[in-house]
Amino acid sequence: MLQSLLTGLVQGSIYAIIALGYTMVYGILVLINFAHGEVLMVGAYASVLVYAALTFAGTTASLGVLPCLAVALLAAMGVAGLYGFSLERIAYRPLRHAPSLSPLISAIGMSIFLQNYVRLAQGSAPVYFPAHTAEYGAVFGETNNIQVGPVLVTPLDLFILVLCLLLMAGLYAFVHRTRLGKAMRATSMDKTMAGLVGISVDRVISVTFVIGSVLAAVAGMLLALYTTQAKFDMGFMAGMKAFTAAVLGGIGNLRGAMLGGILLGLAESVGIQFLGADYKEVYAFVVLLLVLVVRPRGILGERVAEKV
Amino acid sequence: MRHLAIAAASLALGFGLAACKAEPGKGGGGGGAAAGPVKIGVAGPITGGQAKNGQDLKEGSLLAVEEWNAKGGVLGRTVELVIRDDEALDKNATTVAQELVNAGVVGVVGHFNSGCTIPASEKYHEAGIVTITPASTNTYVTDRKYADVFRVCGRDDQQGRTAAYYVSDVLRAKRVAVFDDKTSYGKGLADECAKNLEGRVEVVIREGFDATERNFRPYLTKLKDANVDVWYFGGIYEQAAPMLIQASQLGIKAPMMSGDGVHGYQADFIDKVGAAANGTLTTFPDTTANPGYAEFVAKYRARFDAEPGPYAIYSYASAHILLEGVKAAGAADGPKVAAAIHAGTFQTPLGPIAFDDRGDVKALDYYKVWVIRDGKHVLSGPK
Repeated sequence: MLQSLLTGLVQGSIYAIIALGYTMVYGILVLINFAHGEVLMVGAYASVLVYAALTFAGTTASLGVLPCLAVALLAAMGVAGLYGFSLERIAYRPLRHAPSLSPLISAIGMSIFLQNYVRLAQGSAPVYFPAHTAEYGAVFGETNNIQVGPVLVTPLDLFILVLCLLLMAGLYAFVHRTRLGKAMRATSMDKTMAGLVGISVDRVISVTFVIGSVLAAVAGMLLALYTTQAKFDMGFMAGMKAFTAAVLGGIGNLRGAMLGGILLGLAESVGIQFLGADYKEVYAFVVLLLVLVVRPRGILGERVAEKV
Repeated sequence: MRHLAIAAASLALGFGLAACKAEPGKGGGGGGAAAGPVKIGVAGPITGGQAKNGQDLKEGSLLAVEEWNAKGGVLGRTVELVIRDDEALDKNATTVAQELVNAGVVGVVGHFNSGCTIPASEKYHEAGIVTITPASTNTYVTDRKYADVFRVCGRDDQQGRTAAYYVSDVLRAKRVAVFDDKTSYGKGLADECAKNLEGRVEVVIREGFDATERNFRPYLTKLKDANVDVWYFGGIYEQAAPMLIQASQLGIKAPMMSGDGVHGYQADFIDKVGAAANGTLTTFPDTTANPGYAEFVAKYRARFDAEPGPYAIYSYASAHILLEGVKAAGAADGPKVAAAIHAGTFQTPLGPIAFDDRGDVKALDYYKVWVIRDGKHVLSGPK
């Protein structure tokens, strides 16, 4: 039981990081960015390729695994940030004043395009994180596993949890403590008014996309580490789950996305533990349904006036 | 900017359209045009996580067809391959099958995965097209007793039984977990294994997860708590690889046992997993013991400059048998070819092959158990 809670917490914190990207974009543009999962996939590829290159060059052996992971992470964040920025400029900004269905279709189109682009460029077989090297084993191997009572904690669990918690705390502080964060909150309340008081709305929207994409890149690398591979279609299911998490927590709400992601991970893991793996995908959606029946706007969703 | 978006969207749409482009041709009939080439279909996972299987299927068949064409083709006509990709997804299988029916093929080498072969062969059967699968081991493939469906490999009841007896009698295991990937192949094989374990070894976990699953920790932590002696996985190497890496990270010492879906993938499985693959047990025939094996491998290497996977030789043999059937029937006509294949005995690198009334290879109960040592499959039983 406790073991499944830990597994759920780790998986859930990855969902939470992805869900933040959905919820931030929705908060500002009222747009579901369906290409978010693909940005995650691009980030995962970037991290695996960079880390594999470092392994091949012997840098992981000489410099250590963690600095190389940091390099891979930064590379992934850079690449994904660039993708997120371009995505908004190419696919969403020209449609900003179009009927709300148009950017949605554009998002789905970009998702299909990115998936097939990576499939053609990188092949349809998965690329593996080079997890079989000795130096990787020295850090993430079973010798470093910690047994806490009945719970087995692996170094990878700790790495993922710590990184995700740091990012969540950092994002929360950024949105609530900095000037740019304040501008983001203002833009999400009312774009026109924010523009009138001198906020550069375009810039705020670009920043939102870049931050969301950078978080997705981190999630992508963590997923690649966790599942040991990156594949062109990995973004789809991860994106669906994170979108569900964002709705569960109340879309548009940062704390809601974090809470929703972790709840979703826990529901899946505990469900598998007690009811078996056969209906794994069902547990998450049953929780979503139950929550939406009681709280239609999600757990922390705010009641806002209908825009008709 | 708007034009860019439109261009991007239409490009994305273009991918979808290209995938469902239909071949213009006659609707069905195994006959093929009276003149022109004899068309043979090849269908399997050409791309996707099992692309190695698709490569074996494609290149094995191609090697056979090129040899026939070098000798002047069959019935005085050249042989042409029509290759289609089902990505190992059963939902694509019938679409691919319809394309091959429309293309007017006389027979199909494929599909690879049982979950694809079963629905696709229904279409081929309706259209009077011969199906020879080199790799689908699910019992149902031939248990339908269609006169035009054959398989060149073994059956899952055979390999499930071999695995179960090895677990109980050689490993003398007391507690076992059985997982599968919920596909026709994986679940069918795991069910056969579990059925044969019943009453002799305690099966403490019996579960299935999606074939797309890549995070196995929830199942593996359960497995670790269950303290099993060995765990069985009915599925394919693309899942077995991440599963074994994650199992080693969790410190699971019990070995995994699996079937033909995990055997023989050096670069795509053993090399990816590294040391964690050692100790893994698989069931697969000893193809290397066949007299024609070395010659086949030499030819394959010379032609493709690559190492053949486990099912390349089966694909080669399947294409060869299909063309021998066409030759014996004297016409590129499905039902006649099927009858000729039932009647004949064919010399292949796998030895002489004849089929029983179900379409299974006669007297082919030959699964062996292998264990991975130092990154190589080593023959281990049955003793």
